[in-house]
Amino acid sequence: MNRNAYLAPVLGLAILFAGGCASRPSSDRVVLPPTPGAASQPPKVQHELENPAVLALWREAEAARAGGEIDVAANAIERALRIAPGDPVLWSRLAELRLQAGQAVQAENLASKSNALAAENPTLRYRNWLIIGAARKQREDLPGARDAQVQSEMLRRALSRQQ
Amino acid sequence: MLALALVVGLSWLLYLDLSVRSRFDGALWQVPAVVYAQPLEVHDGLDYDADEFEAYLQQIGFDRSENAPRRAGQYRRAGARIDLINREFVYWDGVEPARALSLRFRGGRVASIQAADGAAVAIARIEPVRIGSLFANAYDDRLLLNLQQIPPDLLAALLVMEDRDFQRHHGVQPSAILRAMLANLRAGRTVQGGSTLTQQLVKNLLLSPERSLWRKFNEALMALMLEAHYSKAQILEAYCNEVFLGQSGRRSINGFATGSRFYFNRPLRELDLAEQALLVGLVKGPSYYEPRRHPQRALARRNLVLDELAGAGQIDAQQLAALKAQPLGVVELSQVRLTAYPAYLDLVRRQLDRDYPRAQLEGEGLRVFTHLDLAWQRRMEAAIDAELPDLEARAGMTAGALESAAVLADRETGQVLAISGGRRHRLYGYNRALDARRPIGSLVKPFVYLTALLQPQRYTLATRLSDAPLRLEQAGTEPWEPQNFDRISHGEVDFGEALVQSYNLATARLGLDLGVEQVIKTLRGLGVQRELPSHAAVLLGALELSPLEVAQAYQGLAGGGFAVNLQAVRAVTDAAGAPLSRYPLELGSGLDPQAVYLLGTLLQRVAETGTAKALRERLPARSLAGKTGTSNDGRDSWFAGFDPRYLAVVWVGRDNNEPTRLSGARGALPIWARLMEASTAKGRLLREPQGLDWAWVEPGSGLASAEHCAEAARLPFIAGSVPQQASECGARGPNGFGELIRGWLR
Repeated sequence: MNRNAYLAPVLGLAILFAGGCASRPSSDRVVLPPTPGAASQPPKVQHELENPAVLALWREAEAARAGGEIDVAANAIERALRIAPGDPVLWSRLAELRLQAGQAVQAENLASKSNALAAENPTLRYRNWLIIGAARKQREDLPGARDAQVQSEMLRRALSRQQ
Repeated sequence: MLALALVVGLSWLLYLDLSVRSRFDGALWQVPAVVYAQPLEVHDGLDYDADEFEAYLQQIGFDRSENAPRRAGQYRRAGARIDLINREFVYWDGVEPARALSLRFRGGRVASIQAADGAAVAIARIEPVRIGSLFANAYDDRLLLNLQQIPPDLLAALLVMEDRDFQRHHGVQPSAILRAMLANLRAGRTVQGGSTLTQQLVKNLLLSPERSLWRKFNEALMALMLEAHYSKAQILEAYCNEVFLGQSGRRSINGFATGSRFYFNRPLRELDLAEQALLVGLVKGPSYYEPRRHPQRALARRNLVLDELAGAGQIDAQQLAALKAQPLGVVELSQVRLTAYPAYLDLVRRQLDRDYPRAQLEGEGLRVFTHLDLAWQRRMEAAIDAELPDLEARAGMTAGALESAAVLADRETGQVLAISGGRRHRLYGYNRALDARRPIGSLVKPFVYLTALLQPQRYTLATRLSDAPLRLEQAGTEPWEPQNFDRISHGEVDFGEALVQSYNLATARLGLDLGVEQVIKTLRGLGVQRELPSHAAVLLGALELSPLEVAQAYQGLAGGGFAVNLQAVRAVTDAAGAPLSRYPLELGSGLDPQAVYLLGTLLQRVAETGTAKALRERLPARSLAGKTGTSNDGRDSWFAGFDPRYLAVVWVGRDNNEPTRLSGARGALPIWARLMEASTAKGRLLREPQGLDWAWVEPGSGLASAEHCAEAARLPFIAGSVPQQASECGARGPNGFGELIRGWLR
């Protein structure tokens, strides 16, 4: 199977996810399962310190990612993490970039780390479980991927109820 | 027969020629790997005041200008405002262009950054400080100069003393050799060397130090070859960078530039003629004329060089008298800043050795980017310098008896920001942070308790532990009979309190219930790679780790259970800036973050009410967590802990492993506190992950209680592990009169 097939849902989400922060959604990207509530109001991404430097690096990462430069994007996120190491959004984005680079184990670990920091952010956790699910599929851990799907589904329902 | 001799002779010549050229090309053209500290990422809110920032600019060689800066590398300071033109710099992930920046500072922080057009700049990278080079010899990071950078007077003195005919001969001087032989014969021992500079260079670069005619013969041949292949200038330059001038521990001092740093702690270009003459004088015998050990000999030798210079007409009599009247001017070894960060470079070297063949590090002009944070390194050294003398005085020890080591890392990313390998920060030597493996004492206890908390069905924060005396019969060895620090058994104790007060008996019993192997497995899960023993005494810290290894284990705790390999190197690029390898952030799969959180609450209590409560006075109103550790009789005093941002481990002890009578709280903790005093980290110390339930518990029984009950404590539990059995009060509900009143008053 094509690795990109796993990535599609996550990639699509990346755009919505970035909505609160930066980013111009480009039309040529596939937008798959909508983030709960995304249609009405894109989830706000709160950066820990609301630090403009973190935001600038985030934008730099976004631009690089849009241009397919995964390494450059990851570097920018790592620089941002040096400034705001407790920001779960950055960890999540790094997870996604690792997934895109085919590093499934790292993607899962980073998304789990983001989860541990994101108790108050169910939207982000939903997203992290999607990444974990895709990572597990990528390394052909199908039962693990199903567990992840259960988690993300639970979060999705809870988020929908809040709407 | 003749033909055979000719063939052998020719082959030998060819062989010599080849080795001369390959070795000399290597020496001439090799560009050692350059190592950089972290670049300075400036952004609003960065903890740098204008003075600190200016000092940083000077460290990277910016010039202060009175007017607005006009070229890259210039800055202007006007009170709390600094204007500069940042140099272009090639990083591992791209180029930071040259651009004008204007920074304003307020309250010890960067208040704003503007570009030339007045636009706000969110973040800018200022180039990193170059902290050293990596050579073949791990303890050689000599400074290289080209011929134009070497003072002409020094070159003149060198030629006068060592080889007056250097510009004219072809590598050897038969007349000089003859003269030397006669002098030596007359004296009955070697008093004169007839070697040209070229021969000396050959000897240094290519040959073993043995003295034999055969070697002399080869040396002469190779000197001729060297002269045939290379210019006088190339040979002289190589000589000046190669010449052996002294020894510092394991490190040899080669080259005049390094020699200048080593003896005068100043760059070569700043030396006066008398000082230059001393360096030239040392060439003849760096250990015989060692100016710190043998100042009289060194002075006589220096004055001889000056006399010879006068004799050769380089200086007049008046200058000669003035120069000879000068003292040697050699600085104390402790002041020498040969390598600013030897302990850190040591770690860099080791990490690179895993991934690169030596030859590549030596000869290909690699650029190595590290995580060293100079501000933190300075604070670490200052903390050690400030506290060790106090500790010695308090423990009634002679000055200099104690040693220490420390590691500071970013708590979440595992980037190693600073390392101290001992109190002599500037010298290569025994790197205690990496190589001193010492018993960690109670620093191991958190891993015992974490192992328990990873089994929520068996252990929770409400579990009661027995602190009863313990005697463990072990086949083949003495029975193991641990004692509490206060030699008192505390009976049945609260799970958390046993760790917070560092009770040995309760911990040993808990560890034995869990199995030593399980505790070791936890340590492994947090990235400790060393093979660990599995006997019971490990549970109380009979386990030897280096400070760096301790930092690795505690990073896992500080990082919420997600261990990262502690790293010094960020990236390596080739000379042109193309990335060769990156060392990206890599996370371990992690231990259950809920259990790690529960443990974190206990480590926080250690710093509030437990064995590290001294921190409350030293660093009031700070969120801190950590653990003290002490080995037998205070041979090792440890503190490992973290704040919302940084993780630090400090060890204090003696190299001869004698007792210090300093506990972890009295020895290592004061240094840790002084170091962490500088942290302005904000945010939460512990982040509560999903999947915890908070419940009221009756202390003293561990039974479920309720808010209205006297003394009830609210504790976090991993979901599904809340105690079910209720205490008497907890079962009753808030109906007693007293409880009702208390309920109203709350």
